Amino acid sequence: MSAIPFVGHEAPADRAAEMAPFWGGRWSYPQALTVATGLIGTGMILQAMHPSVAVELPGMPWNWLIVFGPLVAMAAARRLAQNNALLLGLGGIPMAIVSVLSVVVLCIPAAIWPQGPEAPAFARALGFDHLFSSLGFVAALALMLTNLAIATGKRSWPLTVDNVRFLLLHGGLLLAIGAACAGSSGLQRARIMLVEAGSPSTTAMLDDQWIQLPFAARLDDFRMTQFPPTLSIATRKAGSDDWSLQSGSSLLSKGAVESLGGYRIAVHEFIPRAVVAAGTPQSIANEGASPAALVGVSDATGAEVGRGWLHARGEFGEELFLMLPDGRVLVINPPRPKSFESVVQVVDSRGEARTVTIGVNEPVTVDGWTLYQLDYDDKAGAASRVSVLEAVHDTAYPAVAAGCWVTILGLMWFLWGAAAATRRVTESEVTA
Amino acid sequence: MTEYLVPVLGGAAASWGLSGLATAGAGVLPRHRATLDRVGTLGLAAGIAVLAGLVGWLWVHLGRPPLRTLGETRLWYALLLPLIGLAVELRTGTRMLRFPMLFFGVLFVLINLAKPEALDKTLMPALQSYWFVPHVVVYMAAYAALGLSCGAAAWALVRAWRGRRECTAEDLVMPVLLLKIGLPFLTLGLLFGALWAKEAWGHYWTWDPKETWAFLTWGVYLSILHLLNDRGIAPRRTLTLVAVAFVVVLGCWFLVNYLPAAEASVHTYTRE
Repeated sequence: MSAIPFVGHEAPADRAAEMAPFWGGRWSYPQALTVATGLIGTGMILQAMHPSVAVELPGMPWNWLIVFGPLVAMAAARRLAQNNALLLGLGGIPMAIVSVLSVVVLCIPAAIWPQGPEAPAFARALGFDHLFSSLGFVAALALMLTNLAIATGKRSWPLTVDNVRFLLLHGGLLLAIGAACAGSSGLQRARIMLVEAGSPSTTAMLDDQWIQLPFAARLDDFRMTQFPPTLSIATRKAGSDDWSLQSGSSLLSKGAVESLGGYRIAVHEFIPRAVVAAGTPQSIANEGASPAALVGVSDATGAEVGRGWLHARGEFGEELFLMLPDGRVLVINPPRPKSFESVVQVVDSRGEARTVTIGVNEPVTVDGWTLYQLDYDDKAGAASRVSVLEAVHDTAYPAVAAGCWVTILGLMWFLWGAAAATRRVTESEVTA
Repeated sequence: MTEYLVPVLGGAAASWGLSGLATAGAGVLPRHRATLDRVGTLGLAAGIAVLAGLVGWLWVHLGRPPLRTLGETRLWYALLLPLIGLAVELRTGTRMLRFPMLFFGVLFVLINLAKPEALDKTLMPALQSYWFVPHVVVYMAAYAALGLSCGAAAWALVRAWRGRRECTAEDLVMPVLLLKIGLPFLTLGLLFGALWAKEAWGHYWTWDPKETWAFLTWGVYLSILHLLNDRGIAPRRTLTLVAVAFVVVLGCWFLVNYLPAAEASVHTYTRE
């Protein structure tokens, strides 16, 4: 016998089921496939007829129907599922598999080709250039959520150990996905551009329109730290103006040594921020200046084959590079950001002022809006005086997070069960 | 730094090669079975220890988790797959996973030897989060368990073919068990990623090409598990399905980086 009870063989043909009318008995894969094909196919045909149509969920509070709808279905399932063929079929495993695979198959074009204006012509013609708001995809997703809701409802009572584990996994997922869908239409995402020492901003750009925020924000300071730069050897591609780069791994400092492209490169001098005057880099106290390094290049025999200053491209003088004997070019890469953050003074709707630091992965919430560090002035780099924040108002977040954590709890339980199952697997069973 | 990796990775591969030889020898030399079996297990454990030491050393030396590039994730895969396999071996007393785990372990070590990467200390700000390590490690554990599941299924098919017999329910036990370990890890990876994305950018899910592939992978394995849970299909078909499904994992991990959709992905930092 197998140690895992659910591993079965193909079920013997049920003669009674074979004799029953197509919709008369319990739904299996043909019925689930027929429903899914009909629903999703209709959506896809309509979408192809009107490629620009995009499904938009209703705003607050109607968007929450997406969550309450499945809950009603769950309640109905509790009372009716025992003998209702439709609910049994919509909430059955065949429908679960068919609906999940429908979403999977519909995702494939977006997994291969880009979405939006860069989508290929066939995708635009079919309305697949905005696949995730297309009628066919939304129909498939709705079918999947309906199945999940009914299946969860069916198992909501009695609270046996198996049912509780089922509820944690499926109910948690339903809550997370349902709330995320509902929240997506009520979610507001606006950009705030702040300039150091500028006047406080109380507005933000949302979908090309200015909106009023309940708080004011003023940028006191934008800070950035950078990693020291690295070296690269550039090789011109044959018959082309393109270059390929072979990058080194050593972070540059005085005395650093890099082995790259068959050369040994020693850094004799290093200036973190330099301006190039008359071909020679000099130190400058400006955060936006590029680094410079005086390097000596040796070949495999140890003989020095080149020596000179390198300076990364920027607004503080020309780029300096070193031609190598084999025609390749040694360059210094611009430094990469290590961290960046904004020190912002906010005055909330109650008039209370406070200073907050908003960094990447470190958002701050003010008056129900969560502020994320999004961008800065790329050209100025570390000297940027501009900070772009994203303000997000998402009332569904607690429900989505709760759903995620409930599912995680269920997964831990499931994993525990899988680990326990290994105990039942013996040498004789698996090597028979 | 790359020059130090060659002997270490070579050592791990050699250790696993020795383990494979000893395990094969145990099958054909019954008199020395116990000794060869012990050598095989020690070789396997030694290779794991070498790779674990390398990963730990890289973590300290680079000053960041070595999980940033495709090559670094391959290194974790080469570590976690035999580690999970060994744990299952020790728990169940079976040796049927030995060859699949050695095959995948050596394969991924050799790929890293053939495609050495420049390992630098930089880590982009978005990756500097406490979610980074659990998200990627959980995914690597999922890929490892699912890779083993694929290997065990393929090995079972080969054994049935060589023995000119039909596949049985017993052949399914190990591949399905590993699938039941891999799928929860895969789901955890998805959820951790969604919670991290919310914290970093304010949204859980954007259908970025990598996320779309992650959903594809999850959907395929979820469907297989539900299919088995429903009424099951013939063992031979199940084994084929489990073995072939791993192609989607490879698509999510590697192929996505070379598709036209990848241009719009925020996950392109994984490109070499």
